[in-house]
Amino acid sequence: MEKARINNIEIEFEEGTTILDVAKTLGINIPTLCHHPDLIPTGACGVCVVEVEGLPTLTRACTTPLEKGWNVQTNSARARNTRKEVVELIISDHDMDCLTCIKSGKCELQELAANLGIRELTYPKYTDKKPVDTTSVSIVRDPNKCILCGRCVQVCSEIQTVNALTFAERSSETVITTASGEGMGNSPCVNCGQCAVYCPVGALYENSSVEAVWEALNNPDKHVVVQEAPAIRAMLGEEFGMELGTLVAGKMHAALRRLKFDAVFDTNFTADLTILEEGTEVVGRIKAGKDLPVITSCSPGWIKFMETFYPHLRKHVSTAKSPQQMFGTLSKTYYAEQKGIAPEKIVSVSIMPCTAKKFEALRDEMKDSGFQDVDFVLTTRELARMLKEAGIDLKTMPDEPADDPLGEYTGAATIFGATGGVMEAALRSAYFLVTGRELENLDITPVRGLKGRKEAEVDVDGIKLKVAVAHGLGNARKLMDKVSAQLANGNCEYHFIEVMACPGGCVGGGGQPWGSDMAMRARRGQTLYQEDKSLPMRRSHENPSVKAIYEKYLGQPNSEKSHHLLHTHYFKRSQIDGKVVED
Amino acid sequence: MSKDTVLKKYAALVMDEDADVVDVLQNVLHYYSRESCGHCAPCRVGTSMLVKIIDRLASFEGEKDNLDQLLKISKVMRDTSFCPVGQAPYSPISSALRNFQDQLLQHVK
Amino acid sequence: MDGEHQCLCAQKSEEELYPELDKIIDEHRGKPEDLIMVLHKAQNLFGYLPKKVQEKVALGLNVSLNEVYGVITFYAFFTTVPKGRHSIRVCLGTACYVRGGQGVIEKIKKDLGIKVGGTTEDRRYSLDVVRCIGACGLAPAMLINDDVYARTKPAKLTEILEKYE
Repeated sequence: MEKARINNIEIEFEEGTTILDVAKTLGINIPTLCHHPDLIPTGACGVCVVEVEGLPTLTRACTTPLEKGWNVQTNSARARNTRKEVVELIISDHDMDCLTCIKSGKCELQELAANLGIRELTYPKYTDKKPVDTTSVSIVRDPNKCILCGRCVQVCSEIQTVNALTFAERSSETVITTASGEGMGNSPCVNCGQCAVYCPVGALYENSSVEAVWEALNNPDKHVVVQEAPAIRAMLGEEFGMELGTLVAGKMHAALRRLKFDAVFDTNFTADLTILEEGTEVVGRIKAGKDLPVITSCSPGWIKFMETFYPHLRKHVSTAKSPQQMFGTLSKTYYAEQKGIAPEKIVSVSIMPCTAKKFEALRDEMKDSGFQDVDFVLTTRELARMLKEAGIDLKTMPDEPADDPLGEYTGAATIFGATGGVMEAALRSAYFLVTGRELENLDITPVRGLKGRKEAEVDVDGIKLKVAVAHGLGNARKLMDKVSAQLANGNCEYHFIEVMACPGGCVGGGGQPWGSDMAMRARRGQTLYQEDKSLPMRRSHENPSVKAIYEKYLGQPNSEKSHHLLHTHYFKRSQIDGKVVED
Repeated sequence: MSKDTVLKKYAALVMDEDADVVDVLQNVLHYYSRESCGHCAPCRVGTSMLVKIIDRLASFEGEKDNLDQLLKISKVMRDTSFCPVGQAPYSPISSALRNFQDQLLQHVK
Repeated sequence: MDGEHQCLCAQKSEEELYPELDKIIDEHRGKPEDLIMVLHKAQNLFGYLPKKVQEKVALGLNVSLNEVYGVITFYAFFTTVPKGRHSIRVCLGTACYVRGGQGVIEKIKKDLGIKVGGTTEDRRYSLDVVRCIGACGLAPAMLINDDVYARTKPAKLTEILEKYE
């Protein structure tokens, strides 16, 4: 431990800690803009400058380790004025239509300008309008808002290892773009939306379906049904000022009813169904020793990543559709039949924590109902905007259950939203499918938590199952490299692997409320485990509505009908533009 | 030009009395703007802002505020840019303002 | 007619260059750290870096296409535009800059109707900027192919350029 002073307060600190982090322990928040706690600081913006007594120039607090004996002034007149002027310069290069900006009220630059008391802009604005990139079905990129902090490039290359975004050109021409500037829809982008989560301003956001959903809701000829992903209930409350991690499942169902959806179902129902389909597949393949390991297929960002970078692993990925797509198909087949509604009248909407789900819904092969199975995907943020526009305050909603027959769920379904959750849910049912007995201890804790890669060994009646979990595509890449190498040698140690594209799983998805960091993702995950613990049923195969759909409609898990409606196949994609290529 | 004028680092420029300081500054600032790598905001935005202001002055369309802005921007750049490219424009701008303010003022509308 | 003929020629010869590019890439296969070196060699081969070359380099060295794109657009040396038969390079080093190098460039741009980094449609000329060619005493200096022109005056440029067919 060394000693130094910050604003004349003496403090002990560990060598190598940055000025910013040491100051934080004293309750001194040095203003920052490009800095994000989950990312390696680059010092690009120059906002966090402080004065170190005795040094001629100002020092960046985010990248400079504090040194023994220094006295740092974070609020000297020079530091304060300079900081303000840097922000003014950045604003002069920023499209300032704040009132109509999607990020208004949530923008870090807006907040910074307010906090620094910038009341007047003295620099002339000369910036020309640049074209907005709308080539992606998931993400819109507006270069006019971009302040070139580089967070999106960092998360895309360092955390997700997708490398769809890059800095290009130099000097005042510097831009963040995709290769050859051909747009995110023509890049290897996997639509995970982490770039949008980390963007401090309104430069990256979801390609919105809000207007299309309003139109469907206002159309008396349409029967509009809605499903909500497991993770939504752990964070929709944040958008309404509720405490982080508040469980709002019941209020969410009530709010959607007040938006006038004709039926409010729950993706958790098809999450349970997924476990039956995928679990049966896993058990079958383990018994047959065929195409092991089995890898999960719920995360559409992961699926596109796998198709692009690991197409040789396609046969290992479970053929079970994701819960969103199973729901879409069933809403226009099973539900339509039960209710006697013509499937062409049904509009199937999903509320997802995810921008990649928008891409998944539009995949050509996702039409097993005879129609596009899921019509519109809204992110958590888009739903919050609709509720606010309609004047529905989530906080004041009563708790209401979802509708039958696609709404009942178990605790196993709810934990799908956190990393390790699908694995845990699958193991709870796999045990039953193999042994015919119930697993006693349902908390499989080694697969929980935010460690990048997790492993566990589970004894299922003498069979030792080796499972692995990865979240965040950089972690998935490391695991898949290992698996590929082991497969090449003919002996992979794993039987079953769960992969989620987003760090933290769906609770860290690209469609979540702005301003997430890893600590927030962890908190939301805990909420899902709490709901799991509180529910009367915690094993997917116990779900009465799931039992009913097999009895009335599907027959058995992995039956011919199930295969037709609830399973899919994968393609090989180009690493250059992400488009499907021939094998 | 007087001997304590710094228009560029590590180089001495000798010009005859007909040389216009705005012309010289324009050349120098365009140079730094091109050389900015674009990584840090103060240098990237600062150099391009300096160029835009000096171009207006060069075409006799400048405003009186522009002279203060040149100094203010280059000073922020000196204090917050990562590398010497962004730190450099302060010297030529401050010396030009110190020694040739009358010439600069002639370029103001 | 003439233009069409040239164009076909250029395409044909470019196709013939790809096996050589493959050889270069093979020497550096799977080595992302060699990116700039390989791009250099590729540009020497093709005279520029078309998208197909960028893609082959990216896949061969195991770097992403956008990293290749970022490097190419950052360094002035690399170009994605095919070069003309005659390469005009105007110096904008310190001395040449203050002695009016910019004026030389503006005149050439106007005469040929191209931007810096561009090539005329008939592929006769391409125009680039260089940062000091060590001829500061001759400022402003200009290179056409390997010929050095000293104390270039914009008024004389038309005459100079005409010499290069």
